[in-house]
Amino acid sequence: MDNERGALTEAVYYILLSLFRPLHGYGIMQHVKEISRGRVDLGAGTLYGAISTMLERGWIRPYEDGADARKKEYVITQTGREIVKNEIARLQELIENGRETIGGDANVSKSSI
Amino acid sequence: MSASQVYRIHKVFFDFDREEDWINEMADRGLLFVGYSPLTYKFVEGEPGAYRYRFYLMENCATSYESRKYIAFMEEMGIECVGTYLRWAFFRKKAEDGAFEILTDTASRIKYVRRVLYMISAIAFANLSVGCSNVLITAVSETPFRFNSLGYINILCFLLFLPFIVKTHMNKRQLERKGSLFE
Repeated sequence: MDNERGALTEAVYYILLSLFRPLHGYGIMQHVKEISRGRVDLGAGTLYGAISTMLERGWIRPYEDGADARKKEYVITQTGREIVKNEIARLQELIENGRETIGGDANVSKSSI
Repeated sequence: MSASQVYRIHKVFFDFDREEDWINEMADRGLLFVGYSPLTYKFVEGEPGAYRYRFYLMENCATSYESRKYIAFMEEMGIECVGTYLRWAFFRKKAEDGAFEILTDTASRIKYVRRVLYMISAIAFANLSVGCSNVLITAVSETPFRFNSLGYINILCFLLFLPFIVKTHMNKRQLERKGSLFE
């Protein structure tokens, strides 16, 4: 189990979210673009680096179902799920502190945070 | 790729950004880059503006296992590798697929710029030391050709690389400053 604590990069967070079901690299890129409404457009090199690191740490693993051997698929592991849970808790703390500080500022809507 | 005439253009660049810009300008004019050998760029005719190119310096030689894995991943992502040279890989992507950036996070960009900077600095300073040595050795010799030395060519190469080294160093500093605030 990874004992390091710290903020995940946006790319890593979104890649982990994408891999709650098996996906190949191109699928991850498309999915992240979709759920971020086009804001996060992962470069192939960035994606490769993130996947390599997460494989080393055991946050994701290769997924083989024999359907298409040409495109490697990946899926999140139990360790990766714990990492995501911890990250969501961290982000929740950030949001709550932010909202408390900003108070009732009408320009800050729920959807913009 | 169907058989078509290969055009060879002999050119030398001391600025990799300008080299990549030139390749993309050629692609916009309908000449598609297909390979490189020292001082020679190879092109075939194709649809103007159909492709965008990115030249990428890998961590290892292009024939290594790691680099081949990297290139295979790129191809899974719809990015074609049109050739390699030493540690360089020449990638292209269809322009209709949108913007083409290989690295989109600041940390990877900083690491990449450092890699390019170290490589080009090593080449430039090797030229400078070889050039100065040759010039000095020739200058102190007893021959009538004391001031003729190929070392001046090496020194000239160093001077030609210098603007790109300075520009890349400033780019690295800018990215590092950005990285202290944003991802």
